[in-house]
Amino acid sequence: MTTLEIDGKRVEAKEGATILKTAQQVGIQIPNFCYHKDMEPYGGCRLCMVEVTENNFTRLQPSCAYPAKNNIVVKTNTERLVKGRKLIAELLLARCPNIDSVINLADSLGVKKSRFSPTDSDCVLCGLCVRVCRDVAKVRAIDFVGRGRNRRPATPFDMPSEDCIGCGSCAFVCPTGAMKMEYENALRWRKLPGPLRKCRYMRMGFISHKVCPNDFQCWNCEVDQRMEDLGASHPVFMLKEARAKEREKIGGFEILSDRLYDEGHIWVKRINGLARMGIDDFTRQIVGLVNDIKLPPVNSFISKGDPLCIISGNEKTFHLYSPIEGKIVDINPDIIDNPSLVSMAPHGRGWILSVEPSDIVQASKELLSGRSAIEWLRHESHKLYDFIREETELDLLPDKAIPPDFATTLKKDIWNKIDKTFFMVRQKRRVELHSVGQTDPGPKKIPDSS
Amino acid sequence: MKIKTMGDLDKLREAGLKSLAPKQLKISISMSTCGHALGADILYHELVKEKAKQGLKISIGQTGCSGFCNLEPMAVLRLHGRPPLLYTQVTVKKVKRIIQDIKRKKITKQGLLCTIGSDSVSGEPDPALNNIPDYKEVSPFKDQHRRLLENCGIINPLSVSEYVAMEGYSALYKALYQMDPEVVVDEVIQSGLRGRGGAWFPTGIKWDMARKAQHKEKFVICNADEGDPGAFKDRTIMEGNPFKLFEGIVLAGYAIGSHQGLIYLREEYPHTYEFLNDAVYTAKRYGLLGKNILGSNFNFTLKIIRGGGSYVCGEETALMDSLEGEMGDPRLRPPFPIEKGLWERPTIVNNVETLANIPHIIEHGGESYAGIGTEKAKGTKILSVIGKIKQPGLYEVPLGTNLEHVIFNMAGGPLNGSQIKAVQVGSPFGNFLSGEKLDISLDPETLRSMGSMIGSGVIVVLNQDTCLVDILLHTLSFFVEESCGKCVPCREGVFQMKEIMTAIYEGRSTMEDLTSLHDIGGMIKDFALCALGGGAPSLILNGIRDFRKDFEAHITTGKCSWTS
Repeated sequence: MTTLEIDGKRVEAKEGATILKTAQQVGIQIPNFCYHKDMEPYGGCRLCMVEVTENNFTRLQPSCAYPAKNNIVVKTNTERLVKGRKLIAELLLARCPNIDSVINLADSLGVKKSRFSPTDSDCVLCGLCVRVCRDVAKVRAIDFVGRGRNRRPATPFDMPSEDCIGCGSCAFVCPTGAMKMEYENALRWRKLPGPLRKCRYMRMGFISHKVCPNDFQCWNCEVDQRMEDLGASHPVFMLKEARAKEREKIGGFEILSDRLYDEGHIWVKRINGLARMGIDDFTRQIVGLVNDIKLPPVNSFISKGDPLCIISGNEKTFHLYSPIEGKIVDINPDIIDNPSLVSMAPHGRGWILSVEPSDIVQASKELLSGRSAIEWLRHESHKLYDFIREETELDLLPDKAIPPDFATTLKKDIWNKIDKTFFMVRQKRRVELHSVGQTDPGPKKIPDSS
Repeated sequence: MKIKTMGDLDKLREAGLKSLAPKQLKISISMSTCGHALGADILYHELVKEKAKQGLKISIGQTGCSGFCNLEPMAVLRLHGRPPLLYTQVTVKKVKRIIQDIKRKKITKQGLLCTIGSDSVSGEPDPALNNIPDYKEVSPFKDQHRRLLENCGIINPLSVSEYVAMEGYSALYKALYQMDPEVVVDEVIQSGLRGRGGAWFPTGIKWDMARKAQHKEKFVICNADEGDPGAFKDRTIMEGNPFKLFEGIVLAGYAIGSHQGLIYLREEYPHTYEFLNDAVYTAKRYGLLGKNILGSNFNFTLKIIRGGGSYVCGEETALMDSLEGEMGDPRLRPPFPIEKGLWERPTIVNNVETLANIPHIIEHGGESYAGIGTEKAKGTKILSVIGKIKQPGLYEVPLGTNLEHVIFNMAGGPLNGSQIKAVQVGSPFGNFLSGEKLDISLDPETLRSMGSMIGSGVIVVLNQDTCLVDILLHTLSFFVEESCGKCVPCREGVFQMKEIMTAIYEGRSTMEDLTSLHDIGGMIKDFALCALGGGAPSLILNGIRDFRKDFEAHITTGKCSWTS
């Protein structure tokens, strides 16, 4: 558990929390302007700076981004900080003398008037609009252009953006009202023909495409009303939750953002302190339909690099190895009865087993997630297609699913090479595994897709 | 031809020595960016034409810049049995005369600066060269300790054999065949080498952390975004001896377990870009980059990438943003680049000068490298001395050399016998030191104790005619122009400082404005996001302290008492 001292109070921080979040938990308010709880920290306004003493060394750090580390001493309200914040407020007030939210902020810090030469701008460059578009809506229709005081959020070349989905989240998060929705641009979608005609919820991905019963007049729409009523937030922030579970396809292979991946093509998900494992989409597509699976026994101890399972399908066998060590506490009973479930839903009901890991934190650090997992899968996909091009006469198109009988068409030596290059990267030692349950003969004839 | 064994390297060394001491006359013209600007390419083509016209038995080659751009185009003349001769400010007319004289067995004295390494050619003292000094005795080369620049302006920068003849690539060979990566890192730690880009972070410690980072993909980035006003040391190394830099980069990759290197080159160096790409191509052909380097099983690729054209892109996190195709904004730390750098992979970012030091360290050992310098800063530093000075240029000196000695004895003192008013060490962030305070040792600790920094080693000399308010306003304008605009203190604060300074300069201010500058400057130092913002105010505040007279003149009389 991480404990730190904030303004003389001993505070326990959650894993991975920042100083700002931890302080808010115990009711200590730190002023900020560019922070948003649903977005990555930006560290631009510098109002949330706090004094952090670490290893007998005191320096100022932005509390919105600085991690709450064990035994650090944080002071949020020293004279140096108050003086600095007042000056920043003065500077912001000089930039935007007529904006209410800036005037209120300055007022709360005890600044009524700025001594600096004023400019009449309505944007404080907090970056919220750019970040909501990039990180939450995942659209990237706007970004900053220019630098220094000429910096401003804009679409490419200030032209109406083709990428903009008209969700309006940028205008929603803008604290000063500088970002405005141009209805002409937002309504442009309603004029498009046929399947291109979409409302903003369709474009945000809340609802799949359908013909709108309200003739795309959102003010008559029940969904729109409900979304608006759902609270003080913009619908796009609910999307963030939904997106976390969304599947993404990289090089023709599915990847889930809530999983950790290992280079031996095993996914790991942390559930109540246990680590559940299964095969990834890459393995599934290569092996085709699984008809037998060999597993280690329950309650046995599995080390890193020990065989996790041997799966066979399409007359070929695969060796998969465990990326983490621990005690096997659970084997998916469904796959014992029906091994083909592994290939039906590899990320879901086709999970293989759960272990009680010896050190889940360390194990998770070594696994790939997020962007690094995507990069890795992309790399593997290139490697696979290069391999197929060089070693076989098959003509497969990248980014398209591999045909289900792919494994059958391969010669044994090529198969062994695939097994070695892609799946046996973790192998440490050989352990004999035994078949559990009945063997599923699988479908007799696999439809020819070529 | 790929170099695979020690034998290959020896063969190449012999070929290089032959080309450095040719049987027939060889004229090498310095063809770097600065040489080009002063007509080196015209000279080169004229020479080629002349050779064809007269049917001369000479060979024509090229060299890089030796660091004294106002003496360009330089030419190195190699005659059989004699040490090479260095001519400065060569023109077409002069070179024709040199050739004519040689036909008459004479040596032209006009424009001849020195001989290069007379001790290398043994034999009788040459009567024709009686009064010609060696380059170690003549200004601007005398008193220098050229470790990094030793080959610049002497060898052909694109010739691997000539670099190998100057002991090149023996360090890499030694490392790949006889040293484990840990040992390489240990040598660098022992050498006490610190980052030459301005932050002076111990290089070995950075490498050690990167080596221990667990990831199969790591990156070595060479920061060649040389944006400090007045700095041109990195360009000179890159154009004068690119293989030395490549050798350092490959060694860095070997030490930390990386197989990919990137050189982030300043956008404003188009000639260098072409040149480095040629050099990468050549290195690949010799098996010095790419797969199985020097016949070992170590692979390393190197790519040259042009920068985004912004000063802040030289800041390491902004640099990585720029490499990823984003706008170059500094990132928040932690995470540090050693943990999550380019594409979230462990990354080391080192300056060109830092990496060029590595071959020397590996070849001669860390202890030997640490033999010169001060207690805490080892090795040599290339100083770019510019401004109102007789001989501007690059001076490579051991750290801890006296500043007065560099300015007066090595660079010839101020221009036209004027008085030195101020010297800025470490432009653009370093303080302006007043002319009486120049008796200091040039090392990071001494300058830090004075509230300044040595930075990347740019020394700007200003004489009596300069107004400090004017020059500080000019520097501030640079910071305002180059601020990325991400954080408020830098974007708004430095801008307001500039507004106040403009008011002072134009004589419409009061003494209270100086207090305002103090308040705001102190805040920016504490609150700014990166070193660009945080470093901007201190030279202004120290300028006000040390040159109060200039400010008072502006505030009270409303006009400048220095500039006419």
